[in-house]
Amino acid sequence: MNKIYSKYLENAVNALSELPGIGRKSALRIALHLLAQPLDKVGHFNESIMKMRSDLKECKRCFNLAEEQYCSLCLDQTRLKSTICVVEGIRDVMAIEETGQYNGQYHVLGGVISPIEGVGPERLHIDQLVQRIHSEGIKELIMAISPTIDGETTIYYISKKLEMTDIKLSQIARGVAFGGELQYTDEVTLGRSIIARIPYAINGDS
Amino acid sequence: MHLSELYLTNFKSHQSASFRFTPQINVIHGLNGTGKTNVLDAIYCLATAKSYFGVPDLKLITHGSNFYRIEGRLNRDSQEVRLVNKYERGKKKLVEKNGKAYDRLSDHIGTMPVVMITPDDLILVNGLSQDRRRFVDQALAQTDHTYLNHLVDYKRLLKQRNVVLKTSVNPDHMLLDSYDARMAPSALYITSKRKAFIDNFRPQLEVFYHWIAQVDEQIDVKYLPSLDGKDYIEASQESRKRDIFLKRTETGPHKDKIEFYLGPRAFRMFGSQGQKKNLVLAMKLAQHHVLSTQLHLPPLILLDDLFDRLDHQRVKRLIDLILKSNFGQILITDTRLSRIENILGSQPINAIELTKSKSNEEE
Ligand SMILES: [Zn+2]
Repeated sequence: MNKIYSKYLENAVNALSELPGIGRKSALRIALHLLAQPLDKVGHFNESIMKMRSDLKECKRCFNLAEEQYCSLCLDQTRLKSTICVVEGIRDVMAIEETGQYNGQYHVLGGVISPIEGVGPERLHIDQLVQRIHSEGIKELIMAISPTIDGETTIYYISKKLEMTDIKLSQIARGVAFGGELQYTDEVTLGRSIIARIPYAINGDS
Repeated sequence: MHLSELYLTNFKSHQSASFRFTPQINVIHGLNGTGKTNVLDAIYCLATAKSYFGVPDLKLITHGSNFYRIEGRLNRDSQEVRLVNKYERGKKKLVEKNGKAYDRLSDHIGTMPVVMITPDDLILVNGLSQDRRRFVDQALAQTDHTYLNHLVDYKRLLKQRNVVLKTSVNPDHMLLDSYDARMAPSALYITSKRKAFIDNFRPQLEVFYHWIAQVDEQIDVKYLPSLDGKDYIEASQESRKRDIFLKRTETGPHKDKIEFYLGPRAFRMFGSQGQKKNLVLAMKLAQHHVLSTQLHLPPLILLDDLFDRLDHQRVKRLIDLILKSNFGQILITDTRLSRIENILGSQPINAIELTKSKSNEEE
């Protein structure tokens, strides 16, 4: 790579190359592109990123992205109140919404249990989920968590926490090609697997 | 089944090397430091996706390079299979069959079954139970994908469970229960398959031991499972207090013991050096026999530094045994070709000489 002669350009390239999937070569290309744009256009670009970062927060209820206290999905009165779909992250909410096949509530855990990576149950929004189930009169929980070793442990742990309740637990259908993470599944398959969800049996080897 | 061609790029001391093998006896000879053992380890890597000696992937790369590649042509069931194992620094290791990468490495294991015999193997007798469990696991993994998957799952869950025990004074019992529930089916499967393996292996071990030792010593192998017929969940509940006190998981197949006996006494303690060498060789041949029977084809035998570990008489007996029965393809390394030629007599062999120029200086 060419040596960069300006300190300002160099700083910009360093900052851009910290973005996921951006190497130094791409970072330089982006920086030079921005340099060639009108000043107000770059200002607008800057602003929209800052606005996103400062004004978006976690929904108080489901931990999805929210502009206010609650996210738009929680505020939507037309959505079914008695079902929660439990997911690992915000991208899973987006993927499931894309399918248009689900019209209930969500709960974002913030990951799966993995003590090796310092993620115990207390680091996830599991207690909040249990509380919601009691306070909102939830009847069904759909576990849309990737069927990895740690994902399965997380599902099991949550089901243990709810053993004394009479909530209906289901898991999105497996065997439907879903290569580990929900966001990589195509819409049709994911939509179908939510409709064809299967009851979760705590001691079952289903 | 036999490996007909092997191409190495930046694998340990071999920057660029190619080999052709015949379906029966192949002898790789050359001075020390020419990388003979590395050729066998490359073949082992191609078969199992791991170095036999436990060398991490990064260390398999030739010094100063950033990737390695192993390619082999395998003739199996009268078809040619092209296998590639490649690893680049910072990327995921890939194993390909006929140009297509496997999704899971476990799907590959068993495509090209191997049995490796090296001077280091004395650890199987002298070492800890974990070395002997590894021996059994290596054999089972090559015949049973379900076993390998259970083993991988069990190890991951065990590691997680141990971190919970290690990092919290007052561990979350519900979390420990969750790990137990998830580990239970794997623990059960692993235990029952290990038991079945030892039961198949025991009579073969006796036969081969007597053949090599040529004396009527009574030998035995015992599998002492940690669960010992108990239900995993129950056993784990029983040892929960102890686990918390010791901050590690004390029950389960990772605590299984495998012991060899010479008469009534532990081989490890009372066997002589010569008896131990016989035992290790018998173990490997018995493993080969069990794999052959289950897979309906003989695994490749990789014999490293044969004369280093066995005297002339034993080598002769071993070669006789191999020639008499259908042992399939064999690759032998030795410093001097003449020693093996003497024993083999008129038997045709494919001799491959390694010189310093064919490989690179470092070993
Ligand atoms: Zn919300």
